[in-house]
Amino acid sequence: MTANGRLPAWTGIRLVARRELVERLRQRSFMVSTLVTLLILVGVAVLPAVIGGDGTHRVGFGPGESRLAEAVTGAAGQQREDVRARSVPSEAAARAEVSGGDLDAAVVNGRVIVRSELDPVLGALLQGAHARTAAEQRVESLGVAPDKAREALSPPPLQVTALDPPDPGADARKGVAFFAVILLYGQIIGYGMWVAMGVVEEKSSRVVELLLATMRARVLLAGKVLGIGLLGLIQLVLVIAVGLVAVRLTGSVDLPLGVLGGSAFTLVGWFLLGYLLYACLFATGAARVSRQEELQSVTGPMMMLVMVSFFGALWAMNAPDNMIARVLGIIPPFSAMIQPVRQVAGYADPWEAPVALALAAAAVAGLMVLAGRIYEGGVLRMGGTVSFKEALGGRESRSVRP
Amino acid sequence: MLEIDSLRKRYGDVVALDGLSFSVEPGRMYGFVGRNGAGKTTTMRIVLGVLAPDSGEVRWRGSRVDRDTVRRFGYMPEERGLYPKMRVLDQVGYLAELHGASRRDARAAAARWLEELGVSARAGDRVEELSLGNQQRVQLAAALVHDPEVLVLDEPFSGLDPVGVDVLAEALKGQAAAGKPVVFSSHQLDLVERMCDAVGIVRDGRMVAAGTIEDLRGDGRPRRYRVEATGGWAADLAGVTVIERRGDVVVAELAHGVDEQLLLDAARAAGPVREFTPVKPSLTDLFREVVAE
Ligand SMILES: Nc1ncnc2c1ncn2[C@@H]1O[C@H](COP(=O)(O)OP(=O)(O)O)[C@@H](O)[C@H]1O
Ligand SMILES: [Mg+2]
Repeated sequence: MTANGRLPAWTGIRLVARRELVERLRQRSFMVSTLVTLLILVGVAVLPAVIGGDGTHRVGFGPGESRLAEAVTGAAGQQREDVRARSVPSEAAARAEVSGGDLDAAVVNGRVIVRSELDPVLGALLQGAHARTAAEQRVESLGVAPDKAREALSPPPLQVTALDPPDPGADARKGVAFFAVILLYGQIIGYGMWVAMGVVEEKSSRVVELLLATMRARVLLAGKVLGIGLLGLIQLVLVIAVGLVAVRLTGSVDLPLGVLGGSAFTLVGWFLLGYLLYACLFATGAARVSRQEELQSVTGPMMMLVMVSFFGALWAMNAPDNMIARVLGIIPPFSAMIQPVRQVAGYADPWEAPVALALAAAAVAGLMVLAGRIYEGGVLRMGGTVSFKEALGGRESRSVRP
Repeated sequence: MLEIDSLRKRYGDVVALDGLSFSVEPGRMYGFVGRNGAGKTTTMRIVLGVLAPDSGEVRWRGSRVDRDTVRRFGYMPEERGLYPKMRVLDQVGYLAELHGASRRDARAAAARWLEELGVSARAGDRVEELSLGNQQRVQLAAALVHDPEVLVLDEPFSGLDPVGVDVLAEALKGQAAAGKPVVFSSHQLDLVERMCDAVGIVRDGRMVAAGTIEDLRGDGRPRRYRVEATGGWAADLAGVTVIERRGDVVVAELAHGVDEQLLLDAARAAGPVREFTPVKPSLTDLFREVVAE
């Protein structure tokens, strides 16, 4: 056989990572979790379009209301409201179409017919247009030429000067940020826990001893974190892609594609960093116990960190200029969820992202070394919970080559 | 030759190994025995590089064993371990790859060993779905799949039914016959006695007796004979001590230099002799002797 005994660390990492990826792709739990995430996402993206909260007003105009119709569409154009006007032959027809939901409102014989109540924006448009056409008609009846009458009655509208104009996409960006937090939280908790459970599985099944006869503990750890992380990345990219397509098709998020793409990029990047941070933490916790039942006690503190980050991120969505939010957005591991929120929502100053990234990367590097040591010290000790001190003190793997 | 040289290992205050040494020739089967806690598992883990010794070293073919050499060893840990949810063929193939085989070679070798050990019908099943005996066979396949140069097995026979014992014994004999050193620990001393060319008895982390079983038996100890003849004759013979007497059967121990023919003559003189056999201590007897005090 070709076993020549030389197995570079990278080959070991690759083999371990591939096993994690392949074995887990085969598990039903992965498929189910992906599908559920996708369904929720698509549902949320499609729902507004279905409910009809898309801002289009369909208005019918009865016989003799054509002048009003013209005025309404004109005014709507000025105010950037989407009004689709068409004519209806009779009041009976108008009532039928309104109650059937084909029209949002109909104007016949000087009254507006709606199903339950008149949309206030549409109402203001209709009333304004009505007031003007009525006034025009009266002035005309006094013998003034129609275009003179119109000119006299259409003063240029008041101009608004905003000192601090709102970002037109602010609400949409906040919505996207909300999804980013939910996704990040789910991915980091889910895949971090998978790392923890995978570590304990190897300990409780004792297969770890066989593995350590072929590779160093840190190679095993690196491969495991990489393989499971890759799986998380695949799922995240899939979910984001489907989400983007759904959003484009339904038009439910009114943001340019560039902004959405940038948000997706931020999300993926911070998932990788956040996952690495928490996966290392979870792995070191898990290496200290031998049974799945004991896992909860050692992963408790990490869970707390994730939860604090999560709720911190939700709070930070409504605290764009808060100092604490700004600081937590930079400090790992909180930054892993709070910084992407500030990015996606558009709150962050330009310097925040690079500083947060640098600190997170440094933390990941440090944690990887520490996790490798604790893992090596703890992974072969069976029974009970190994203290961090014990794990750090007694590394057991052969560490020197002659 | 596989050489284990002066291994020392402490766990806190517990001295697990206290200068333990032995060596195994290629093609030899070495039985490693000792009471629970004597240090067998610790030794084997050090040989496999899973554990680092405080001092001492392991050599194979004259050079110190490192991570690359040890990948060519085959190991069956005392705590059996496989991924419960992984499929048998995938699992054995994966372990072969970790030992350096290419993917294709690994799968071919895995399939071959599963066939050889009679579990190929379960190749597509998850390990947890197998009976304990079959799991044990898969474990052995995992130890053999990369055609190791050295085999180290920690209590491989424990938990096996008699058929399983035979399958395993045959497999190990085959490996030794192929010129590999095979080391295994066991509490089944009769099995060790039957299978092994050499044994080492370990106590408190130290080798207290080592060598071929013949050596251990002969090793400067007084000879004993079992004689069946009409009674009352041996007591007055110089240099002879009666160890045991049951009816007409006497077990007598001869002092150094006493000719066993004198014993036979004395017995004959007393009456017809129906049995006259040298009594060799079994491994169990030797074990009790060296481990008892
Ligand atoms: N991880 C460990 N931590 C502390 N003590 C240990 C550990 N492993 C083994 N020992 C101790 O080392 C001694 C030798 O154990 P071991 O090598 O398992 O013996 P054997 O395999 O011969 O039964 C025993 O006293 C045991 O309690
Ligand atoms: Mg043992």
